[in-house]
Amino acid sequence: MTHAAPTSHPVGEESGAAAADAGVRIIDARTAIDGLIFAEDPWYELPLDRQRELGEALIRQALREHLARCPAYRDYYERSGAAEPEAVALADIPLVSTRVFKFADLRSVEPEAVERWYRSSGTSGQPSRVPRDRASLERMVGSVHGSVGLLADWDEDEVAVINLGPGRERVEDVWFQYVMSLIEALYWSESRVPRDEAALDEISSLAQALLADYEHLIVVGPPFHVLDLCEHMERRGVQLQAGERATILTAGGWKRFGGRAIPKPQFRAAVARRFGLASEAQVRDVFNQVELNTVLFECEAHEKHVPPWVHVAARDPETLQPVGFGEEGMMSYLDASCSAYPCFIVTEDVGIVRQGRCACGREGTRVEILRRLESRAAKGCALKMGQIHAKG
Amino acid sequence: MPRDEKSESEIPAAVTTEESVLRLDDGRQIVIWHSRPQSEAPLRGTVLLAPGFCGRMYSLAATAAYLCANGFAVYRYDPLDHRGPSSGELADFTMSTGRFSMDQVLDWLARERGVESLGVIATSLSARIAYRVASERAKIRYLVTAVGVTDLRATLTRVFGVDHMASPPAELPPTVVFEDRHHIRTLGFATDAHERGWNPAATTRVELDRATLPIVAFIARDDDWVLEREVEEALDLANHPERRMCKLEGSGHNLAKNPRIAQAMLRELTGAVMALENCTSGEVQRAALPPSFPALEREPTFEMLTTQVIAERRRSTR
Repeated sequence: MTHAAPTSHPVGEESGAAAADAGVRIIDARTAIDGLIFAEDPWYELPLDRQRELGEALIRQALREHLARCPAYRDYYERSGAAEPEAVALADIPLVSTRVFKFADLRSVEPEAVERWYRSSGTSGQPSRVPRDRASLERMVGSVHGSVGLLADWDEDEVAVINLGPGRERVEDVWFQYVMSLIEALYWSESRVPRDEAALDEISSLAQALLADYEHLIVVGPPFHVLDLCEHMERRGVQLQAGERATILTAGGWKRFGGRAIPKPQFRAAVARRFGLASEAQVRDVFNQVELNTVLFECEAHEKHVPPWVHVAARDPETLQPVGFGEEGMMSYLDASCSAYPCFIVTEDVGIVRQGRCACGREGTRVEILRRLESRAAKGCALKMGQIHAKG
Repeated sequence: MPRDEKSESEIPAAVTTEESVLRLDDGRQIVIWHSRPQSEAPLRGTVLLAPGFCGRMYSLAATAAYLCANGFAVYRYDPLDHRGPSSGELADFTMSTGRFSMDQVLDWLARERGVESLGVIATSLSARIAYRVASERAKIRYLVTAVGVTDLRATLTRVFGVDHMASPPAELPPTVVFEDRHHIRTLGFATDAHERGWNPAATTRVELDRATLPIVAFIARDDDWVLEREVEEALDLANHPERRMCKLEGSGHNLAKNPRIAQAMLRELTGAVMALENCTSGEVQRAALPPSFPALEREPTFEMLTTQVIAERRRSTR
């Protein structure tokens, strides 16, 4: 955990303050990680050097906390031969394979502090299960709130959202659906699962009505649902003219509908055409997975920007050593925003990490997720890491 | 390792909320929400929450949840000429409209709900109104303010970057824009502020000198709009042991921005209300406010709070 327990004390108790301070209490609940996630000024306006500096300090703090609170990770860390937490390079912090979450309960907080165990959608076998406490959930929401500015600066009253998924009452513990349903805490929302023609008719009508009633419409959902909606509207002869007044936000990938996947530029063009958008830049994607606590948003140049509290590296699948910027590798993340479990993970996604100035003009680190890992040897590497951990 | 699962159906809502409409003789209406604990235990007390300028009733969902979880009945209202469902437009808001709304709700609570005495929690601009109301109405048992305005003119000057109150009426711009979005008509607001004595900081001090109720004022140490020293001057802590200031490190005027700080504040605020509820009316003494406030008995979880925020957002109209 990276945050100290909030404290509250009379001034006199701590500092022996003068009588003039009688009746004054100081409440200090500040933490570095929350100070950054919930800062007034967005993190993506920070210079790259400052982002690196902040990130390193926060991740090191998170490492110390998880080593102190998660015996399983501490044991794994010690057996890995990594240097002391103060000296270890970020690239050498022992990583937990996301496969570990399929069979082990890893947590750094007491059971009563766990709000809920969330699971992956399990489209590729056994689902992962990941705990989250209040601070982790609030920071996840903060990662969304703090990155929405990469899309636009909306007032909550101006925006209506159609969530192409189940509403709050029906999401249960599937992380992707849960995160999507939380958008209703930020904006006026309607949730609809486009499961059949009747539902698609209703969603199409709803989109038209909301465009008439609100200044801006956001449609959010997995790409296959968005494509379903666009194809349905085309069949029905529905052509929206949203101009600049709509944003289409995809998340979650194609999952078991991978056979329908189309190249991203083609997808964006099709969606922009059907909604009558002024620009394909209004079709954006976000990335998250159940084992990662931070949501990564695309900028207008369609680059996914990584906040400074997350250290990301693409790694060689055999050696797990980081590859250079711009080279393909297995994606790994050190996410300091998670207090519930050590979010130091290596995934089975292949991607590219870039750093420096983006085409959008902002400085920072970006990721591009290319595909799932296919090499049997590489998967074996990830599995081996899981076995190491399981023995702990 | 044991697996401690919670499903959505098992997530308890912290609060049950009902809506009432106060209909005024002139046809206008004030919408009031009444939230109460889920448990059948006897109530600890009743509290009225007044929203900050531009604030919605559902923006006070977490405060209501904390108080209800610890045994309080909570009323919230949307003032006239405000942003929520009550009559009127935000552009026409004046301090006296805010005062009239608070008075109407307090009268309604006594008349319709039998709530003769209660605590008031007021945020930001509504705190300035609450200071005056509390100095004039004996049935308010205690007052808690959060980033409460004490020097209206100074705060508005910081918010808008210009001291419009110094301008002759003819030179006022027709409207000013609050938080980049909300247009407020200046002439009505400024005229009311001048004529009804809302402007001078000294007026707040005079009103508070008349008040005998206990007051706990939360201030944010990085607040650009309400300065620590202004609140200290108004509260005159050295001569009023029944008053307390709680200073939140690291927060600006928006107390909800950082949830760690918001959580610490809500714990302290709920503890303060629990302590204040135990003060005997008319016998407020130095000892009446303990050095520290009691710990919470129950704290709403993230799941409870988001469930409530979403439910209340759905209840709200645009």
